[in-house]
Amino acid sequence: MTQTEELELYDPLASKSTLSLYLVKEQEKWIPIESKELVIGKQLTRLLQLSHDSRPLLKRKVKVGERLTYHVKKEGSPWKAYLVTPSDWVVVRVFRYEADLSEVEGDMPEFRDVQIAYCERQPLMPEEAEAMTYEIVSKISVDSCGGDREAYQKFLTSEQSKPYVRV
Amino acid sequence: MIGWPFSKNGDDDSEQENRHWASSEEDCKEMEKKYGWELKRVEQNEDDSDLSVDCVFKGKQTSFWDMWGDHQDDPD
Repeated sequence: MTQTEELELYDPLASKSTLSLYLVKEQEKWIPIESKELVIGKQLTRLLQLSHDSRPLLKRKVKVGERLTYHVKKEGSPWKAYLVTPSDWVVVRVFRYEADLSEVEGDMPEFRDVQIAYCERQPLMPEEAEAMTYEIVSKISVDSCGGDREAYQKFLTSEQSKPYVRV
Repeated sequence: MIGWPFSKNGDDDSEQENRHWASSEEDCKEMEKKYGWELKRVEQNEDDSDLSVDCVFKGKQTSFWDMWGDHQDDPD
């Protein structure tokens, strides 16, 4: 077996996730953000959203046409219910960058690759946005407490856990 | 009119989202890795006393009927 074949078979980053950065596309106005964290403070940014993706590799590619969403808390529900609401931002171009392992010594990088999804504003009519909106509820399981069964059971007996649906 | 998620095609979870409470953002990342999910966002629960978080994942959420079943056994 040649060295090239070995390299093709062995993927040292097989267990690593993909970082997806959703950026405002070039020539589009950046958006203001504000944080009490001094290093962020009040500034204009291109970063709309980022995600850590551990799905099967073929599913990780961000699709052109994907519309970013946001969550709005639904008042008056006994559960922690949220409306998943479409935003104005739609993915129009995607580029992927792979980790360069040639100079890595020791720890492997956190991500196997990074993809940048460029987004532009494509506002919806109110009735279109309403038709795409749906409700979800916040859930809780033992994994919510990092697998700590004792902490999970303790949380379940607390008042704080009541609006959460157990899975 | 609100489109209910459980009326969608059950095999296609690409457009759905799934929201879980967690004690920290690290637990969100652990869930992402353990279940092979996409972690889209971590929101801080400022209304809770211990500043816990909610993790927003891409994927199919538990249906209303699962919730109903889960709570039938709960002691009142």
